[in-house]
Amino acid sequence: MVSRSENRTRDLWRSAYRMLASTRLALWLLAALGMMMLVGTLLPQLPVQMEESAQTVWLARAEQKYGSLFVPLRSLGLFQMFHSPAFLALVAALLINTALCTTNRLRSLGRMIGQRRIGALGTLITHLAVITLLLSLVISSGYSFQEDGVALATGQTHPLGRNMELLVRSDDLHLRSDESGYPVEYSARVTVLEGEREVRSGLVKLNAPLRAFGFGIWLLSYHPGVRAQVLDQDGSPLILEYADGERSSGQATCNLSTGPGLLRLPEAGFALQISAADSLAGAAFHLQVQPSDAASPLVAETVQSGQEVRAGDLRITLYPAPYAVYRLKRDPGAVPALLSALALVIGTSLSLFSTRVRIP
Amino acid sequence: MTPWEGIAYAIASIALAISCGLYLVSIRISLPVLEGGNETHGAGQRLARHSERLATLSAASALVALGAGLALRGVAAARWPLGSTFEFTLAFAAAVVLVYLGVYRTAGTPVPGAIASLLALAVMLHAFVVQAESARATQDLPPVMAGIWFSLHTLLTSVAYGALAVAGSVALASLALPGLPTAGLVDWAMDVGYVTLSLGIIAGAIWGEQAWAEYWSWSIKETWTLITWWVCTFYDHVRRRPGWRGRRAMGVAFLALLTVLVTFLATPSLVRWTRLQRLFIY
Repeated sequence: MVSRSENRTRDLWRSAYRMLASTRLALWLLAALGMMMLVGTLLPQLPVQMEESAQTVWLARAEQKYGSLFVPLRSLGLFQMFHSPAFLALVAALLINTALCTTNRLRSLGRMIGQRRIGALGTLITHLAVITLLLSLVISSGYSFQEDGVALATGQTHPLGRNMELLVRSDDLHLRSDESGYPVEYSARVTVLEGEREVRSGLVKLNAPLRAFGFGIWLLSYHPGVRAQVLDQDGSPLILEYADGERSSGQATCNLSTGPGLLRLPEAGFALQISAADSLAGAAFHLQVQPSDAASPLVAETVQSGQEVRAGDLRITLYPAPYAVYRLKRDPGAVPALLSALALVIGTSLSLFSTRVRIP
Repeated sequence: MTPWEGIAYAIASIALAISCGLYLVSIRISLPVLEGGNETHGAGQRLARHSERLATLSAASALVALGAGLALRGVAAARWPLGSTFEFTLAFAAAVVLVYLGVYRTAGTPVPGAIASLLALAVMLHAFVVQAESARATQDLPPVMAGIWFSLHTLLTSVAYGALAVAGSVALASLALPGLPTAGLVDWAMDVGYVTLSLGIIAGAIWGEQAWAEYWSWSIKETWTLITWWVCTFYDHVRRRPGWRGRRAMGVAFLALLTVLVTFLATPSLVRWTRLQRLFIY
């Protein structure tokens, strides 16, 4: 025999289930999410990929703009609306609602599909696609890997992903500018290495990343760079030392995007400071050769690309060596999300453009 | 802009003005029917029908001229001709006419035709009067704005804007003139808008993923496009619900038009509004 309290509990569960699976709740959730999105476009949103120091500056600017409103707005998560717990909770509620709504209607949908009512099949596909789309977004946010601003000169390598034996090597960068120096096109040849072995190679262009082992390699921009060749009077290569202590024989490459390139010549007792004279083409550089035992530089002049400069016993030649800037990304949720979105459109089209029936 | 292109746009705007005028003539003649009175008979009815047919033909000519103008621009610029704001605006105007011509048989009254012609003309005027002269010049686009997915994205989104603009403005007319038999047309236009907008968003996501490794970045334009899609989803769910048929559903369709207008016209201002000023430290 079932007691009255058990009945009451069961009724409560039933009504909660009915409410969670109702179209009415779906409409409320759609309206609430729409309102939150609207608010998210009226207030500046803190970029997620931003570094911590840059975020601090961003927040200081926001505080300056919004004054006394800043603290309440921030505590409500309105500067990170699309990643706020409230927004994510509503998305989760929509996911549960869609799943329950679909489950609830499976029997009647199955009956209608059996009667060859295409619209019902479309509704089923649409709702299943919404569920898989939202799950794909969860996979994307939880399991994707992204590394930005990987600047590589020709021949340099960088690890591809975490804890993997793969390396990405930038082989060549092609720049094409119009008459005014405005970049019209740029592309880079990239090779993926597994140890010493080349496993994948291809051209990376704007709108055309290279895909390998689940990773994508995007060419985002390029930085000005210089390759300095330093020989002694006999033509023998001299040792060059980077700011971080790494050494190279005869030539070294420096990224000039954030400031002058600095190289030391420990054997000869000189330091080189090189900066770009023209930011895009890399046809000329400012070169300063500073002896370690003198206050003033031995050479301080603008030199053309390929022009040999003599400084004491040194023979210095500078060549343009632009850095290709890559974004490395692996997103296991991207393909399922796009497939789900396509399924959603197919389902919606089926249900919209066939005879519409109301599913009980 | 090449002279031939200018001629094509001039023909399109004249054809739209004629179309609008003829639809208004047809409305004037069939006004007693629209007001619930007796049907007009004989010569009046024939004249109304002829006016409507000529108006539709004129609108179709405007569509051909707009399409030719955009094609000429594409040839002159040697690229996809829906890249700049000016070009997209003209495509929007063309889409208004295209969608109306696709669904006009469901109208049963010349009122939506007049609205669509007037709307397309207003969108063209926006392109030629409101937008800066420099925006009208044929210009090179940033290298990233190229490729099949970008082309599909702009094409599908312009059709979606056109469809939702037709649906929303006709819905507004039916709110102002109760009894206007436009529910079928609004339904069709909303459906076309919903599907093409969904496909446009997907094409844009694929383009974004190929260009920047991000298929969605919650930018203001993206978010407003999603809000428009959300409103369409809402409309799809409520339009046959008891209590939502008729005026309330038309209200939602009109809301879709408003969100399209915000996405199209107001997002640059919103970007400026939400931009944080530089922090000066003395």
